[in-house]
This record gives sequence, structure tokens and C-alpha cells, in this order.
Amino acid sequence: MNIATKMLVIIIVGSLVPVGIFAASISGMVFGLEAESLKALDQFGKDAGEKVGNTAEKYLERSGEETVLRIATENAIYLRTLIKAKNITTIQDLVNDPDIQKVGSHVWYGKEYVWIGGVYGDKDFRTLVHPLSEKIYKKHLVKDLHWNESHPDLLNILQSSAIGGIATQSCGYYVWGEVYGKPAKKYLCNIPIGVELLDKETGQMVPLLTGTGAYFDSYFKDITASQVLPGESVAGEMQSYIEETKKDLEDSFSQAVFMTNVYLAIAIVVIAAIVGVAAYMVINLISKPLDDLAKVAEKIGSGDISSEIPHREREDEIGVLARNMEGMRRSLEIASETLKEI
Amino acid sequence: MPVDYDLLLEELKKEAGPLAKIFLDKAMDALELKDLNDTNYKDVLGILKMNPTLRKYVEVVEKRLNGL
Repeated sequence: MNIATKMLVIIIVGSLVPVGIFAASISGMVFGLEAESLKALDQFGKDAGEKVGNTAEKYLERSGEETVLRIATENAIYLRTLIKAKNITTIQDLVNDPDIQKVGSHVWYGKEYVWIGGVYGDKDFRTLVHPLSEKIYKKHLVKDLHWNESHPDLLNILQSSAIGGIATQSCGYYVWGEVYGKPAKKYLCNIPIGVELLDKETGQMVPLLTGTGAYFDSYFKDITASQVLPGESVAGEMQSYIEETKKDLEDSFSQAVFMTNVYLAIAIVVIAAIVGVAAYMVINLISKPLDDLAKVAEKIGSGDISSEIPHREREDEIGVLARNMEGMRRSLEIASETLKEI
Repeated sequence: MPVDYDLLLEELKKEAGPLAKIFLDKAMDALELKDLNDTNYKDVLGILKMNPTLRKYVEVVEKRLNGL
């Protein structure tokens, strides 16, 4: 391998290897950034979806609780006014009054009941007006209906509204039947009406309560029109936004990768051109003159001292070398000719 | 610039290479010169021009020195 080839190899390797490493680093960086970003976005989507779902569930729960409480409260106010206006004084008058029956047992939202009850002793709440009145009218919740076994959570709420024989506001959750194959969660509120009536059968004054409950799942399923929990619907919507964002991000990264590759290709072409020019200059300015000098030196070495040394006009090291070689050639020529004359 | 031994030797070496010193010294010996100056260097060049191979180089040096 001559000096020109060696120098060419050094230039190419010295130029293109760092460019290759640089290009690989940039590509690696872009791909790495893409992977990390998508991973982070994925995780963000999962976390956000879960948190938004839980928060939405919580706010919808509060909204449902507030709705039940307000309906029960407004019903209590209306019943108090109605009872006083109609001058009702006994439980018997109450349950037989068609207006009271209408108000006290109406169904709202298509499926949710309103009822009127009385406090017959400590924790002894008994239903007086209810859509299912006949079955549960004045029945003791434990002794007659055995709700301590079938509906302990409901029993607890109702008993809490009659603690100490006083009508007390009491709200809470309980399970009643099934919705979509799952236990149906209900929320109820019992609100004191602020009226006591005489039960002519027992001879005791009975503080009145009114209450209502709502199927928590069905109430919100009507709102969200979905079998899943409302919070899950919100989380699902959020996840779809995340997926859209992810797709946008992937598109952006694809564009970035494409542009990076274009810039790298341009950089490689430019560098290759610079390397080509450098190689041309190396060959023409250094390697070729050295090659010329080597050829003349070979000629002189073989006895041909007539060829003049080229490149003597140059101002660089090659010029210095050429001029000195030419001086030696001339000396050899003069000595040779002089010796011939002797 | 005044011509002296070093200047002439330098100019001759440029044209004829390292052997110039031998020829210059021999020429000065032949003329029994101990040193060179503006007046006697032309005699030395005249002796050197007697060598046909050396002549062309000496003439170049002579022209250059005349131009100084």
C-alpha cells in the first residue's frame, strides 16, 4: 500500500467513524426518547385514568347522596305543612288520608320510593305509608320482618333514625337486590317531619319521619348510559384521549426520526464531499509530489542523473526536499562529468 | 551587498549542490586567494567556468551576483 492509499484510508476512517458514532448516538437518543416518552405517557394514562375514575365516582356519589337528602328533606317540609293544614292528629287519620297516601308513597325517577314512618320506641322504626304498605305496615323490623338477618345494613340505618325513641335524621348505604348481576347499592335518608301523632291502637304519641332511597347504580347508569361504573366511564374516556395523544406523539416522533435521518444523510454527504476534497488535496499536494520525487530518486539511484528533480519551485517541505535533491543531482552530474574529463 | 566567501559559496551550492565547496576552494587555491571580495570573486568565477559542466550553473550565480 503506497502512502497515498494509506493517507486516504486514515482520512476516511478518521472522518467517517466519528460521523457514524455521532449518527448512531443521535438515532439512539431519538429512539430512546420516544420509548421513554411513550412509556411515561402510558403510565400517566393509567395513573390519571385511575385517579380521575375514583374522583368522578366520589363526586357522583356525593351528588347522588345530596339528591336523596334533598328529596327527603323537601318531602318532610311538605308533609309537615300538609298534616297541619289538614289538621291530622292520629296515625289512623294519616294512613287513610288520600292526599297523604299520594305524597307519602309516590315513586320518583320511575323506581325510587318515598315513605312515611313512625318511631315506636328506641331503635323501633316502623313503616306507615309505603308503596308496599300492606306487607310492611307497622311491622317491627326485627321481630316481624327479620331484617337483622336479610338486610342488616338497612336495619342499622332505619334503627339509627329512632335512637332513644326520637325521630332523627339518618342516612346511609345498603344493598337491595341486584343490578347487572351485582349487588345493587342503595342510599337512603330518613328525615324527621317534626310532627307527632297519636296511634289510637297503642295510645302512644309517634314522632314521624319521611324517607327515600335511590338505587345508586341504576340512578347513575341512567345518567351515564353505561353498565360500568360512572367513574370507569370517565376513566375510559380519559384513556381514549391518552391513546389519541399517544398516537400524536408517535407521529411526532416518526416525523422527528425521519427529519433526523434526513439531516444525518445530508451531514454524511457533506462530510463525504469534504473527505473527497481532502483526499484529492492530499493526493495532489503531498502524495503525488512525493511519488514523483521517489521515482526520480530511483532513476538517479540506478545511474540516470540527467533527470531534473521536479517540484523545486514549491515553498513547503517538499520544495526544500526537491531543491536539495536537485543540488545533490547536479553535484553528482558535475563530479561525474569532471571525472570523465580526467 | 558585498560579496564574500560565504555568500558565493551559498549561491554556488544552490545551483551546483554540495560539491560546489570543493570546486570553490580549489579555484581559490589556484588563484592563491585567502578570502573573497567584490573585486576578486569574478576571477574565481572565471576559473570555475572553465569546467564545462559547472559553467551553466556558475553563469546563473554570476548574473544573480551582478544584480545585487
